[in-house]
Amino acid sequence: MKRNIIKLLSGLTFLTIAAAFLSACKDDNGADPKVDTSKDMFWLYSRIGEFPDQADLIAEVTREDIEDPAFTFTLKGNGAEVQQKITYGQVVKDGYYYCVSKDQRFGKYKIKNGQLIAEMEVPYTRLYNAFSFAWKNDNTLVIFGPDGNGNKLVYSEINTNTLDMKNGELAIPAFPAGYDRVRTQEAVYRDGKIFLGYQVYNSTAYNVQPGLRVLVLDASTYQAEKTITDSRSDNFGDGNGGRFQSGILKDKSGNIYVSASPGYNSGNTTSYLLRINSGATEFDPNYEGFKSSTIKLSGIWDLGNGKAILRTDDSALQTGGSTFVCEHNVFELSTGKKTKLDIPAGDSGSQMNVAVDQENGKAYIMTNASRSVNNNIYIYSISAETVTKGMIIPPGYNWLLRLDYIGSN
Amino acid sequence: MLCIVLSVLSAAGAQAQEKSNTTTLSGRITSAEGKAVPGETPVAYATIGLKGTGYGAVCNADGEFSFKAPPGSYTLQVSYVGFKTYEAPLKLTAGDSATLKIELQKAEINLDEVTIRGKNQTQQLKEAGFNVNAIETKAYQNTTANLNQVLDQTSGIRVRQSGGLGSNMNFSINGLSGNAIKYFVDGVPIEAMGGVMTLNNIPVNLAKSIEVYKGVVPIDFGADAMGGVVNVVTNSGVRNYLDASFGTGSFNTRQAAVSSQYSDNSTGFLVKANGFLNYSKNNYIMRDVEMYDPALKKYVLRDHRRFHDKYFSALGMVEAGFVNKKWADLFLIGGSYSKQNNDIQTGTTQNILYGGAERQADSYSASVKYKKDNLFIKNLNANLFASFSKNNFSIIDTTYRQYFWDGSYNVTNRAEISGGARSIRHYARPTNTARANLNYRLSNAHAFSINYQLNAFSNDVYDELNSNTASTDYITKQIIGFAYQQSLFNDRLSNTPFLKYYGIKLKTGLDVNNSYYSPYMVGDIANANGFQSNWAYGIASRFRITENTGVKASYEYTYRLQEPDELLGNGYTVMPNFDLKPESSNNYNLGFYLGNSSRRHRFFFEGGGFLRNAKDYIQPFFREALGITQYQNTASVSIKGIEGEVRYSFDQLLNFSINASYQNAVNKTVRDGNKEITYGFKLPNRPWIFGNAAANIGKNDLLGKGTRLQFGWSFQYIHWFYLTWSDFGDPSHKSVIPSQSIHNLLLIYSFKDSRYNVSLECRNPTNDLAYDNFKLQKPGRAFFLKLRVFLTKQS
Repeated sequence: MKRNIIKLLSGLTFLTIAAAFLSACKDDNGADPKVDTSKDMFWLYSRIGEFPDQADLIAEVTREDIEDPAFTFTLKGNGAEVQQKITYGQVVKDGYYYCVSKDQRFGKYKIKNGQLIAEMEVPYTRLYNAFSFAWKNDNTLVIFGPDGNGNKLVYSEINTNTLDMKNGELAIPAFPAGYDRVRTQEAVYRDGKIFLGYQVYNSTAYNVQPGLRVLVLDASTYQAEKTITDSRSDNFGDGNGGRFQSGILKDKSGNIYVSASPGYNSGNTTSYLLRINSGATEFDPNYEGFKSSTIKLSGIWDLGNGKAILRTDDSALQTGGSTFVCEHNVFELSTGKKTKLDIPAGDSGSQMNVAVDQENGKAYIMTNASRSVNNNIYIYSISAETVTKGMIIPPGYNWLLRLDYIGSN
Repeated sequence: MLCIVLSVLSAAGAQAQEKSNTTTLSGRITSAEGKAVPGETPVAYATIGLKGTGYGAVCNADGEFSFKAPPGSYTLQVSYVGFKTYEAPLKLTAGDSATLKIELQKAEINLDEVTIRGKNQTQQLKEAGFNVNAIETKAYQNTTANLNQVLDQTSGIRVRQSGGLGSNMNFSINGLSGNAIKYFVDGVPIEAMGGVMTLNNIPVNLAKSIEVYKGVVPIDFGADAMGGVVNVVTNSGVRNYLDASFGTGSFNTRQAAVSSQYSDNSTGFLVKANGFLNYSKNNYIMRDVEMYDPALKKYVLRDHRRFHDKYFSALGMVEAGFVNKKWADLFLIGGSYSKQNNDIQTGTTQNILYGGAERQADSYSASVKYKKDNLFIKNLNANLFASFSKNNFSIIDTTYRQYFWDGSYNVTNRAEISGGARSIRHYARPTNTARANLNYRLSNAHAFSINYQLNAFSNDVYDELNSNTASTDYITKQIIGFAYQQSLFNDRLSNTPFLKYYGIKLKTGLDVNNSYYSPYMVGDIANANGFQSNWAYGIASRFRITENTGVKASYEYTYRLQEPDELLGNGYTVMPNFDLKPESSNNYNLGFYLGNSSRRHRFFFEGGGFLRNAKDYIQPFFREALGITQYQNTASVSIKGIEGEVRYSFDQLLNFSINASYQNAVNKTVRDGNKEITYGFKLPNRPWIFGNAAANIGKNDLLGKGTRLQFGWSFQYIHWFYLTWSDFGDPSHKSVIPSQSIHNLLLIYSFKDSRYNVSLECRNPTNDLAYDNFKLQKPGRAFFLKLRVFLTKQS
């Protein structure tokens, strides 16, 4: 009797184990919805899960799908895993991402058929990221930042066809008393010059030196021709360098529009949209396209027709602990006229959520406005000045971090 | 036929005889066969008792026993499988302390005869209501294994390591890991022994057995152990012995361990000395690592040896005191010092390479232990412990270089790990621990226990090269447990309901008026600096169907309390969250066991299922754009699993075991009433099917009297798993940690009745590629030689 019980139990144990293995195998059968990558393409960078189970995935989405209000976005069986290699602070140009990778390289990457492909990589630790950058020409990218000690500014000029580099250090004025660290903000190239915002701060109290500081660099020698200062605000574009948000716009005439916001504990409290006029190397004292001490600027994207998508964060929209304070407006650069778009207020934060395709006259705005019902991509027609709903993004995708228009890839 | 030598060797001190109303019987049981050679062959795990009473004990692995009984006339009975049962009259008078020496004679062989059903202590533990893995380390004593490698071969447990000897490990019990698991040595928190002591460096020779309580934890461990407890049990007999071993092997590995004890029965004086030393260069070959080739201007795959992964750890521990005195059954004062240095070779993936970064640690501790049965009144037993320890460790990140796998480097402008300025970051954690355990047995059917544990420590952090980054926090944890042990129907049914109280008090050195924190502070600091209390409860039950067959079930609602840095931040990169709640979980276990022993065959099966519903996981939330981290109660998870183990042995010739575990951890996170897109999906990056098998064949007296030659094989299988969410992402390009099948071989030659042992070990003989974490390769084929001397003498 006992032996029979033993036999029975042993058999059951192994059957159970076998069943477990069989159920495991089911997981191999994922869907395989390939995207036709010969079409016009967008890359949508999203993060799912919570630490330590966060995963960053970039999905390839066709223009056809992104404009289809009946199409529902999914990452199930779709998207390239990228979190081992890159984060969402990218320089994007001509169908490539450029960045300092998580494994200490500078690389040129693309997403193709659900895979992150490293087109070229070289060892790189000179800068920790490529958040502050400027394109000197179509093939020459310059990235800026502090060194490890945080008291010098350095740069790398990179040939994006070969990843050959020229490295150097930038001369900056001595730190005033009470400040011991420096960091870079956004940069923009114009007519042989690079305008690079930088900020000096205290490494203990974190307070920043009041005022805007912009190095005007000779793009050949990297010598500073002058330093522009302005006391109205503190951050030159995005305070973190520009790759999490877009805070600077250079129009076709060479005017540089700068969203300027207060830094930590500087005494400044007002956000502005300022301008450096074409040919000038000073802020235009008469231009304040936007000014508010309650509403913050959190991004500006050129529509190519003298207008821009201006993203604003209005804390007054916050109700019941919600973080949905982010609105999108069409902004007339010369006059400062602001027209709010009929798009639900989205999550605040540092998302690169607007992709503009000037050639086809459209701006694509990705919102993360609800955690409980569907979100959408909204398409703004530059010529018709209308907004239409595009692709559905179901609730649960809480981290929609980048939308990049790639073109045919 | 039956040869009995019974001698009362000594009596305890006269004072003890006058006042004590019980007699302590201790001694050793040996095999009559041992008479032919110097020394004696112990009979391990024999059952000794006073017939017809509840007084008795099970011998330890060395045949030793000790128990107490009131004065009276009894029949002493000793039994063990393969030996004839011994019975003899015994008269005990008040105050006697008798040492017995008993020789058993082997029974005649009769395959059909079912004789004794002796059960060792670990077997008894397995048949208790709690879901527990109890592992005798005897089978591993001649290997170079550390405790984590022993535990990794048991069901429901996964130890994931990032490399070779001393490398970072993650220990999980039924799918819960990290701070949810707490570690003890003889019931005392391992931190109280000094912070260097961890499962990945304690040699197996320092432990007699290891207990792993899964999900439901007895109150004796006063711990916020939501996932379970690992308890290392050391030798507790009163015999004099010296166990010394030295091992050497691949990758310049050296391991030494000493465990010793001297006791004097006449005075009750006892001294124990233990220590170990581990060293390895860990310079094993990394296969197909990416190297930049400047000529080709691209990364190519090469094999290279690790070059910056040296590991050293050493510990010395001494305890001295008295046993079997009128005022104490045991009183010991002890101290320890330990030290550890290790190079850091890689970051989270093997493409992130370091060549200068180091971790250094040292710690010291002082402790006092006191045990007394029948304290003040009969059947009231007390077990007290107090200690002070100071654990220091430092991370040295001062090299401005980018290293490559061939050992070459480029000079850079930033530190290797942080990417920022040079830093030498020091962490100091002075810890006070006190524990009081009282047990009162009302009758054979009813007993009550209370356990109080106090942990008070401060957490001092500062950077030697940057005086701005310092913080000091204080935390006090008080955990009180109440348990009632009920034994009904002649011990066929046992129930242990219990209640636990968790109190936590924190004090921060954080300047809350610093407005830099204010945008990120969550909640009221009074929530964190005040006293928080939580109640937990559970029950463990077992029903014995037959002598060796039973079912058991257990449940606990339990917590993992907040750590100071999680609640209060670190003063510069981690922001406080004063509203942080403890993690909590409902843990369920259901199990079944079945054993059968004939005189030569032994069989045991155990299997079961479990469910964990854990919520409010405390996890760091990194705000990339701001460069800061804040701990939050983020995820919830449900883990279901089944596991089973079968063991069989035939006499001393052959033994075999196999176990398998299946775990399915599913995301149940809901934030603000909304489900994440990954809700209901299996959590990534977790082994979910794994199993082990082992077989040993050995023969006594093959190469001469008193020798044993044994060959062992063990095998571990871990089924492949996805690095990220299985259902998300293009399936053709998903990152996978592949299935792993790793074998180990062991040849042991023992002579002079196991006094001297030589072993040869080959790990991973097939040189398979193994990695637990993504592409962090573990060693390939490795060889080890171990010499071990075990000397013992009855005091």
